[in-house]
Amino acid sequence: MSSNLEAVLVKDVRKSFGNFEALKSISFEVERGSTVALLGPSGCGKTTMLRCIAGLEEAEEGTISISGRTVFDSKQRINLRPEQRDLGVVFQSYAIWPHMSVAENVGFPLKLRGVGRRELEGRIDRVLDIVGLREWRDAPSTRLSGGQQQRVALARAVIHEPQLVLFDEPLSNLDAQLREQMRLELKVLQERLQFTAIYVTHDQIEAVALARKIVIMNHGRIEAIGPPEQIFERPPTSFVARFLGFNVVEGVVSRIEPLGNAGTATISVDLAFGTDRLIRGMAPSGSSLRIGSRAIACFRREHTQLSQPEGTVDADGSVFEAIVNATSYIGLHHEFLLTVDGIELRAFGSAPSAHSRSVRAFVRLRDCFIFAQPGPDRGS
Amino acid sequence: MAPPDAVSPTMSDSNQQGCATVQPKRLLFSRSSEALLPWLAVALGIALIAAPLAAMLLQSLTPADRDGAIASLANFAAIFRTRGIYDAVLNTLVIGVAVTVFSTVLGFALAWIVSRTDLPGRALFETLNLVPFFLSPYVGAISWIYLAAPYGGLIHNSLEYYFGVDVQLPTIYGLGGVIWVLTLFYAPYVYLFVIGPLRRMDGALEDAARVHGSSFLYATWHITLRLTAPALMSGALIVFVTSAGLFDVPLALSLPSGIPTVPTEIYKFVQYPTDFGRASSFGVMIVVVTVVLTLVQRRYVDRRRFDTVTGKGYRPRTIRLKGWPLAAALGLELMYVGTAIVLPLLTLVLVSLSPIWTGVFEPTRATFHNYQFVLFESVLARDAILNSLILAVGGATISVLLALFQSYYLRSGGTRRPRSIVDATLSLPLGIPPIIFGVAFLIIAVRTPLLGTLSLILIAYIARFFPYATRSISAMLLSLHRELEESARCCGASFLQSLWFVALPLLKPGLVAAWIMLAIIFVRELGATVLLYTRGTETLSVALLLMADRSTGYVAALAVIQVVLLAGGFALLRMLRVTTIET
Ligand SMILES: Nc1ncnc2c1ncn2[C@@H]1O[C@H](COP(=O)(O)OP(=O)(O)OP(=O)(O)O)[C@@H](O)[C@H]1O
Ligand SMILES: [Mg+2]
Repeated sequence: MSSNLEAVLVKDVRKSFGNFEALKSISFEVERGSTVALLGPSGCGKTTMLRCIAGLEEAEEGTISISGRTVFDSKQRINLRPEQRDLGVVFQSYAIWPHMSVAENVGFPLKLRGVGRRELEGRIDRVLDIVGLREWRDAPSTRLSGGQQQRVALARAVIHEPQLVLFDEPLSNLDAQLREQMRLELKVLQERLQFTAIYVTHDQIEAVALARKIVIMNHGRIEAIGPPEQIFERPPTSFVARFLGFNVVEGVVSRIEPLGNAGTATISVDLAFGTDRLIRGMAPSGSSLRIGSRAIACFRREHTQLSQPEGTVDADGSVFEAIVNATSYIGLHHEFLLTVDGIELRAFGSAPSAHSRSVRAFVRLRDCFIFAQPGPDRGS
Repeated sequence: MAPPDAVSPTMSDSNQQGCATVQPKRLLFSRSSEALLPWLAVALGIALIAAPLAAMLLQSLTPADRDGAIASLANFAAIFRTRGIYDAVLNTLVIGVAVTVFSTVLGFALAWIVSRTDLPGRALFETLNLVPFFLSPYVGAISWIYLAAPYGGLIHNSLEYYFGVDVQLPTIYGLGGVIWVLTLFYAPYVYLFVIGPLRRMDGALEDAARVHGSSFLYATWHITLRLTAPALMSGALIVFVTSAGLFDVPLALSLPSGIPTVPTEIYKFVQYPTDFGRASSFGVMIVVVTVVLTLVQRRYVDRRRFDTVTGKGYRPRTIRLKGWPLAAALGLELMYVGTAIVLPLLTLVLVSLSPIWTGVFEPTRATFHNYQFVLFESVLARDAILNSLILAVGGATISVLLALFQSYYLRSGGTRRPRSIVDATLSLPLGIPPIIFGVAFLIIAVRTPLLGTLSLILIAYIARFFPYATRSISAMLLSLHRELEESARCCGASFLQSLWFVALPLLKPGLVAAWIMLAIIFVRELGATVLLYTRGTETLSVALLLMADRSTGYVAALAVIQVVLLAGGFALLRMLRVTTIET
């Protein structure tokens, strides 16, 4: 089942705590040498998934294999212990051992593998060089700052060249500036060492920056899998769109018709919202949208333009009057907080018009995605 | 958040839907043998508790005269017909309640004085207040006999000799004496519990009350006392259980004047002619009462754990003492240190240096003969010292190891429901008087080759006292961030390797503290030992008891040796800067 390309294969993994289902049949794969980001809101089961892969938590069902070796299989009753899985893990708390020096921390995986003293020292030096902590080699690890601890954890996770490196929100304890810097360093390190990684985060910027594939989780399920561009350009579910910070408008379907040439798999949908407003977007033709059914329109703030682009006609999108409630300069652009009949929307644009609080907002048809709304209670 | 441990409907549903092969349980097969160690330690702990209690239960149901009935409640009926049994129960309750009340008041007052006032010499008093916690109440009782025995106590004689006054102290023999000595020795229990919360308490809370117009006493009563109430309750509970179940001090002070308590009654049942039936049925009844009280306590007392600590680093207000409050505070401290430490220890030394104790110390006749005898001549004393050391070192080591692995189970083994049951079971001995464990192990021993061996005493010690270690070590383990060990596992360390390289170094101070605490307990233990020793397996405390027939000088010399051992343990603990107390 597993080809050489797949470093990690997770299939139908379920995990409950008591009668709370933390993971409900999760499957995904990670290609060798690439990074997959597990993204999702707090409590969705990201850490649990990671701990199941590491062997720190035992799933009830499913299979997990790392580099072609089955490390967990509920049917065959295989469950390797964490130390048998050949991993590197960077924990959210870093888990630096306070009673050991920096070198002792970093060299621990090699020491356990019986690496000789000479080689051990050499490899510690090399990895400390890479993370830029050579001068701190013999310092007590309690003396380190947050960012330095993070680097020690990273060095410790890669020094034994494991099959797979797991990251659980490694940057979430750092301040914004340091986080950005570490993100870049991580990227460089990744390209240099070419390790396979699973990276848990709830920060979409990190996910996009570091991963070639993103897994978005929600309530123990996978909502979306795919390359970041694809997910960000065309969110497959309303949850994903909301989670990624899209503008969301709820309404009732008023018109459905095929889009473009016959045979294409998309339809164009008009959604009535507010007081006599219309927004036009697209949806896959197989969707359960019917005229009169409740639906959601999602579009990115970057795609909410405050003037109709030249050369477009109204049929290519929707235009509505909005009121500017607030403007903030966020570097190069302004972000606008708009209301349309009490519904809040965000938009990016250039300089605000000084004289008028009322603007026309434009959204192109292909930037706006319509999703059926399963139940009236599915609010958040 | 996971819902509480209710039976899950979804789980049973999914089982019915045909995935019978996969139980929503941890897979036992995959655990390597070393991962079984925590389970093994728990099984061993439960066996150590269950086996003696089961043996005692069986014994209690076995009729003494074996005509016909296989099991009967005759032994239980016999208990209620025992002469003086109601007195014994009543006396025990009186001792328990009085000691609890007095030592709670005293312990709180001492803790408050050293933590919240500017009393001169606070730092010294802070250490001295703890000393009695580590000494033996039994030795305390012995020295108070020397101090205050009617006609011939050192206090009376000295007052008469030096000042020519004839003051008759109330007699040390009787309930009053027991309560007096136990209050002195158990006040530090409460002290240890409340000193932490008092020290960390936000002085602003009290200030707020006073700003709003309440008097100093009112603020202390309503704010300070309320906020320390949970710690106070925990301390009081331990004092009650320990003082009511204590055997040795009533043996020394109340039994001589014919005043029985529950532990001394049990002791009498086991003396010739031995009545195991009554001893065991009485024991069973006490265990049942303990279990019920423990359940009640778990249900109501444990829940009210509101912590007063804000952790914001407020310095508690120190109260300036002047005039009579200063005199009162200083007086109380001096009184306490004098009566609980200085007088008893001084007396022991004086008696141990006297060839024959006549109630006054005659410096000209001072001699080291008593020490020479107990250290070099007496086989009994030599055996006793050696045995006590073996029991202390062996018992503490085994208990700490057991507790360490049990703590791993208690932290994360199995599922939650069984875990809390195991937790409760492993805490059970804490409430049971040691002498009952003595009875139970004696019942086991008379049927096995264990009878008369040191191992028997060792096992009984571990069974009764390992829960102290389990409680303190599992609390420490909980505060150790799990990812520290998990990251070691992920680096490739096995469970034992991560224990060795990561957990043990980080837990070391706490483990050593628990070890020393248990060793101290074992050196002074008498309640269980007194039923289990034979010639050759006497311990220090047993030797103190046996020597009493021969010479007060020997007793005193041996007691001084015990004090030196215990004080050594205390000094070690202080050096490690840890104080353990299990809550
Ligand atoms: N040991 C446990 N016992 C019971 N419930 C647990 C346990 N571990 C996790 N859970 C629950 O499982 C769910 C998923 O937890 P998990 O830690 O995987 O979330 P997460 O996606 O990592 O969230 P976050 O972003 O906050 O770290 C949560 O609701 C959590 O309360
Ligand atoms: Mg998490």
